[in-house]
Amino acid sequence: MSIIYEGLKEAIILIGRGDPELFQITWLSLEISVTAVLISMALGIPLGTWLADARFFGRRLFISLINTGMGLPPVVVGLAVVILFWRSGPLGWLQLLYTPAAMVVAQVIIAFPIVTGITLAAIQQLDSKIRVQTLSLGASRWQLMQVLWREARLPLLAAVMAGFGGVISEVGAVLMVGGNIKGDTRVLTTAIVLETRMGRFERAIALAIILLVLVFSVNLIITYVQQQGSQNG
Amino acid sequence: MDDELICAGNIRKHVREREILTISHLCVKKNEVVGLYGPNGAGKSSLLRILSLIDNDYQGNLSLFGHAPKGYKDRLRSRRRMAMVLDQPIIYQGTVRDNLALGLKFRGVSNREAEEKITWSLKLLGIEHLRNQRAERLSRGEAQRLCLARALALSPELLFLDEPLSGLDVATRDNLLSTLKKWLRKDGQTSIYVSHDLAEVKQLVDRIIYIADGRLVDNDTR
Repeated sequence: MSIIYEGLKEAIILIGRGDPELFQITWLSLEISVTAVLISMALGIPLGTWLADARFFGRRLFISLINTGMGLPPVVVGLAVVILFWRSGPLGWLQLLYTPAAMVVAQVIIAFPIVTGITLAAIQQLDSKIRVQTLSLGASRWQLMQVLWREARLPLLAAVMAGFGGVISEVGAVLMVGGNIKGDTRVLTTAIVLETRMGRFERAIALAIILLVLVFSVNLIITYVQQQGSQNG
Repeated sequence: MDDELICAGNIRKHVREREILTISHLCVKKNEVVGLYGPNGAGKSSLLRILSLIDNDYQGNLSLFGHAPKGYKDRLRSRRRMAMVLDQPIIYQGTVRDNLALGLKFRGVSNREAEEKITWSLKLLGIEHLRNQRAERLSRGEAQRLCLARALALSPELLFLDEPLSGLDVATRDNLLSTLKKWLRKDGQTSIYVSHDLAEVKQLVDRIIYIADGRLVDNDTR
């Protein structure tokens, strides 16, 4: 119990005195995960929407791959990205390994199938006649997509939440591709692992509390927007 | 030929290698109201989706407004000269006004003109009092009125009505039937009215086409 108490005390002290390293780690965690989720949304929402209605050979196999990707182990993603960006790897010339950019790439690979899969399910559960009615009102492809997203905005926000939750709390991939370099690629999850390994439980608990508060705050904002929409709708 | 808004020839539609529609010839003249009558599953709605350019997956020749639409932009332009009301009211999130404004916005109608058209169509269908109400909270009858108002607000040159009175109670149905009768008769609206109720079709149209098993069986001028 004393460890938890000390952890809480340490967290309050660290936040209260505005520890610059802590803020740098927190900010980097947010920056990397938000960027990854935004990229995943930009790619996954249109793809999921298109997949809901598209008919092509191998569609079921493709959807199965997306669904499998929703449960992709982060360490496997980390391994793949490390090989990709390794000096002698296919994209080694980009020299991205152990940079925040590589961490974003790894998190996009994790979040993208989650956003795509939930978007696909969200669009498919809409009344199929919405598409017919919207086209008959004179919608272009882009206008139709906007209408579908507006009608499915509650589950789409759930897709964003699931994507964000999947990457902000992930440790395997970011540790492998980022290397946990102090002041450069250290994020909340990798810092927690490091502090725990070093037996500095109070600091690890403090970081864990900050991570939880961060996840809660982002989800609170999205839930607020979602439920606001639900009440209006 | 010049006064034909729709001219379809040798239209064939397949679903999973099964032919569900074979239309050898169908033309609709300007200001004509055609009734498409037939049992459930006869292919009425499938035909309507092809004629309204919503379903592009078919073989055959289709000419609308005097020419065969080619390419995405041309089809979109033609689609924006038409409107359709479905058998089940499709309501979008938002107010009744928002629902009415949607198609006008798609078609690039100015805000001022859109407001005029919205007011006019609400009045025509007798739902002015519902203007600012959440559309999802409307009754089935009110929702179907909204769908009709939404289509008419677009001033379509071609109006497709796909069993618009199905599932309504008798009073609402009779009321909407008389509104439709007035509209289709007085204003010279070119329209295809789909129903499996012959008595209903007879009240509204100039000509009845009977469709069964995806084929036009009888083409009768009344």
